[in-house]
Amino acid sequence: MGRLARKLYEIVYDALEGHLRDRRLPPGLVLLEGPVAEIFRTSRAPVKTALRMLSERGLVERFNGRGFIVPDPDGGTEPLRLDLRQAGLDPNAHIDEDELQNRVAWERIYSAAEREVGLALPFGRFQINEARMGEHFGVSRTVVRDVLGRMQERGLVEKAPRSHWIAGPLTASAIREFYEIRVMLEPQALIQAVPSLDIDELAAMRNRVALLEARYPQVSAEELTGLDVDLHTRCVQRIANKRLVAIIRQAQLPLIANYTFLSHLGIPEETPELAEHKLVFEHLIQGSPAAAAAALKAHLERSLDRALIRLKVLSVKSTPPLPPYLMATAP
Amino acid sequence: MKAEADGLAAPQVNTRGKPVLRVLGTKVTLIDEIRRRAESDLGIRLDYSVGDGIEAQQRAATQPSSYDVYDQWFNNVDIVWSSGAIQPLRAARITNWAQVERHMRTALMQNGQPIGRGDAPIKYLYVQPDKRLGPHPTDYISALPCVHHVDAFGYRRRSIAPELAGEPESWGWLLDPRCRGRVALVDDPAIGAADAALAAQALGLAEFRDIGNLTIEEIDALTRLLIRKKRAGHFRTCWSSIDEATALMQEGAVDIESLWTPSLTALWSRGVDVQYAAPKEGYRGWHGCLAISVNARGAVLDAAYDYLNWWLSGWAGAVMARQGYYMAAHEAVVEHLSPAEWGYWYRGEPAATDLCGPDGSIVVRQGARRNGGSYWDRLSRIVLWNSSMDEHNYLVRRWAQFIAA
Repeated sequence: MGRLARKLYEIVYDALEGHLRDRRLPPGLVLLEGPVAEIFRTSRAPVKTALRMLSERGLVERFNGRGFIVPDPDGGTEPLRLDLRQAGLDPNAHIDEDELQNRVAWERIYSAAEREVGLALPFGRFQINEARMGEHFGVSRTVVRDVLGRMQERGLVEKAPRSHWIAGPLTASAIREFYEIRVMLEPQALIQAVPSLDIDELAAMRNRVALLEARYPQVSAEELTGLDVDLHTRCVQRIANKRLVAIIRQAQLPLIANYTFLSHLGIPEETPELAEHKLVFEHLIQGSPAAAAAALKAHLERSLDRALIRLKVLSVKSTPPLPPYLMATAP
Repeated sequence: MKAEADGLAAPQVNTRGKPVLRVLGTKVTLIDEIRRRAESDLGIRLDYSVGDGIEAQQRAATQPSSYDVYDQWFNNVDIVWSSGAIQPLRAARITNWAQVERHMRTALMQNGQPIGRGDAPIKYLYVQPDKRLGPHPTDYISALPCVHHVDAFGYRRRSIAPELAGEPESWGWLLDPRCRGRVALVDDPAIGAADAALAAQALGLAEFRDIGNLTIEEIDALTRLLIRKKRAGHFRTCWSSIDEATALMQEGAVDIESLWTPSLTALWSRGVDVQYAAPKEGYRGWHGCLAISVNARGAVLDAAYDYLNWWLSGWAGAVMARQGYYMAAHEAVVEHLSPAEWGYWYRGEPAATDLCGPDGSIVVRQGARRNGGSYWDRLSRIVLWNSSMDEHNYLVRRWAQFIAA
């Protein structure tokens, strides 16, 4: 029982790629996200990614309709709209069923688990009971360990010397240290990422911020923290140096803390964060990476101040009911 | 609004049509005698909402629509300000501002630095251009400085260990094994921990890089020490109300405890021989202040400023002085105290006559002298202010573990 190395989209990609390599699918067969997802019993997102990757590599092609088609080595074929199973798509071929199901479970619970643990962080130091976590989410210990491994990559939990997973406490000094790392690395990473950033994508991100600004404060905590993903993951981490990506990800606990603060304290009456995000995108769209990096640095510095204040304000809240797999533990 | 709901319920003054001012705070200042006089002097109706320190702060930070004036302390102000719950005050609207500013910038400073570690009030007084609070003067303040004092602990001279009685008073007595089983601390994470930290430092049981801003490791060490002491039976209890603190000492359940002035004067008026220490390490200071809710507007806002100014106009300061408290504009207070009162409470002179407390009973006998000297002497010996440290949230959680241990 080791770490699950492959993401869900990778599993779907490999399965489809195997079918195409073995010519098990007729040329012209139309591949649509929905039907493929149904056959593999996953959500559409990993299928969408897998199809996009296959198309980037020329293994499937776009055509004059929705979805992708299996290419004809002899050139142009009419699109074939068939039931995929009948056409030869076998969900058991080129796939490890256990791995797939574990991965599906992982994807299903990871966001919920990350949020639950994140919400508890300010209230003390907690040991995570793997067995209870598995019961709570209805998944196996393998999946739990992978979830915890991913949380460790995000700086959300640590493995203590006696082999226990520890979450929290969220402290002012930890927040300062995470931001110190982020201020050093994220603006530089952003500059490196610039050549890989698509202007349409940036415009879409900028527009997402503008839409929330227009509705503010009629927004949810999920929507606000979703904006963080755009800037601090999709842009900043779009670099070739994967080791640097891993280091940055591990310093991004404050992004999880943002959700924690919003959930416990509510949506603040004013939030300069939106304008700060928008400014970074605008500089990127204008083709000014240095200005974008400077705006990102300023945003990070102000975010640190806000986080420290929110942590103090949170002191007036008593500890909420905690999930059964978290046990308060002494330092 | 309460005025309409109560119809023609008979107040002392007909306040029909006048604004009702809702004041949130604690028993320290929300006294009935003060409320009645303010209503009469100002022609408004006052609705006092009294909570313990923690409840009041919680409400202040999260429900600004539920009050108009928030009466608490400078170490709470930053949290409440940063939550956006209170509005900046125009110093120019404060009648006695010059006196107050003098007090803040001279009595409470030495060599250009605030006296005492931790949340010295001047650090949170002025609203800076970036909307944060700071010591650099601007036209706007976060809250009006008002009642303040220096705290230590109280003890029964005749009941504590004789060896201790012969030594100079020290914070260390609170944790001294010779007092085991006869000690109470206040159950407040910031203040109780501050008393404990001063005691631990005095006994050499702990060292703090900055006693006004403890690190995680220092909070852990202090908590471990307190839990160890608790399990060894050192603490009789931790009190969570002034009445409880008074009863503990009066009934002889403790010989030494965290003690605040209202308990002290109550005990004196009942003839209990309790001494308020002047610890050789210095005092723990606190500074009250009055803030206005972010939602206050129009007539309510005007009434709020009137109420704030009234507090500094002298009469309220005299009432507070008879309980042992000081006022930020003390020059206005002199006119409302008898020479004997001013001499005892502020100048540190022996009482020229018997002195009465707020309820009219005698609290100070002729000839008695306030331990620790004059107002100015005592202020200058503040070593630590009540504070909301960087790791305040962590301290709250660890303190709860001490209380539950």
